[in-house]
Amino acid sequence: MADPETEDEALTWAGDDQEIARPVRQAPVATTRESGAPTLVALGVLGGIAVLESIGWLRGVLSATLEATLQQGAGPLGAVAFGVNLLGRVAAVAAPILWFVLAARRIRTPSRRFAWLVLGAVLLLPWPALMGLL
Amino acid sequence: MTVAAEAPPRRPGLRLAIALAFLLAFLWELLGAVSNLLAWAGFAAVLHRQLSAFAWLVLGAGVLVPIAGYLLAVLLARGRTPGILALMLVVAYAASQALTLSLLAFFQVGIGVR
Repeated sequence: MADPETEDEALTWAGDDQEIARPVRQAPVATTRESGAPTLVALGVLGGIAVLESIGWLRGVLSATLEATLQQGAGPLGAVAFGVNLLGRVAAVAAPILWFVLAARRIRTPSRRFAWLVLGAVLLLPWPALMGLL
Repeated sequence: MTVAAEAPPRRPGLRLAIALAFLLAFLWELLGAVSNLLAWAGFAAVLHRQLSAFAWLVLGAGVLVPIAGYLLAVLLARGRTPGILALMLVVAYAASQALTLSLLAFFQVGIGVR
């Protein structure tokens, strides 16, 4: 059986007068973020798609939906409703870029990150603008 | 050597305030979707007709989108900082708005308005 004092010495760094640190949580390891060329190219392509989708949403939102929410003489409640609807349209225009930034920056596992990025690119296609072009 | 990362400070009050503030925005969107569904159902009833399965599907999906978006964001941000919760709710709200507009476009094309 091993000597307990020898075991304690083996688990202690020189100059470290404290007992063994008990970590609460491991810090994220840098190698989980891929930074190779294929990853950067894929991120660039998906980022470009997000920008194009936002442009499509801007076109779709400006075309027909805004004026329908603004009514003459609707009063304060009507103004609030218009403001909230306007905020919603602005949010829809920003949605693809916001989704891309959140997924690209916050998700560390590469496969999960790309799954979320592709999901966002598919879900947030600007159908109102695409249907207007058909 | 092991690096011990400090756990983020827990602020249940701030998290609750953020969740409730965004809940209002999602509820407003839900109200619009429900009123849209009821209005079209009433319009069809006035004409002594039934809404088609496609119309029910699209209008029903419009009701589900804000509910699913809010719940998904809150679930994914569980145990994270208030800032991350707010960020996820912003993205969920934006995506929910975009999906709602897409569904509206599908509906308009489906019933021949556009």
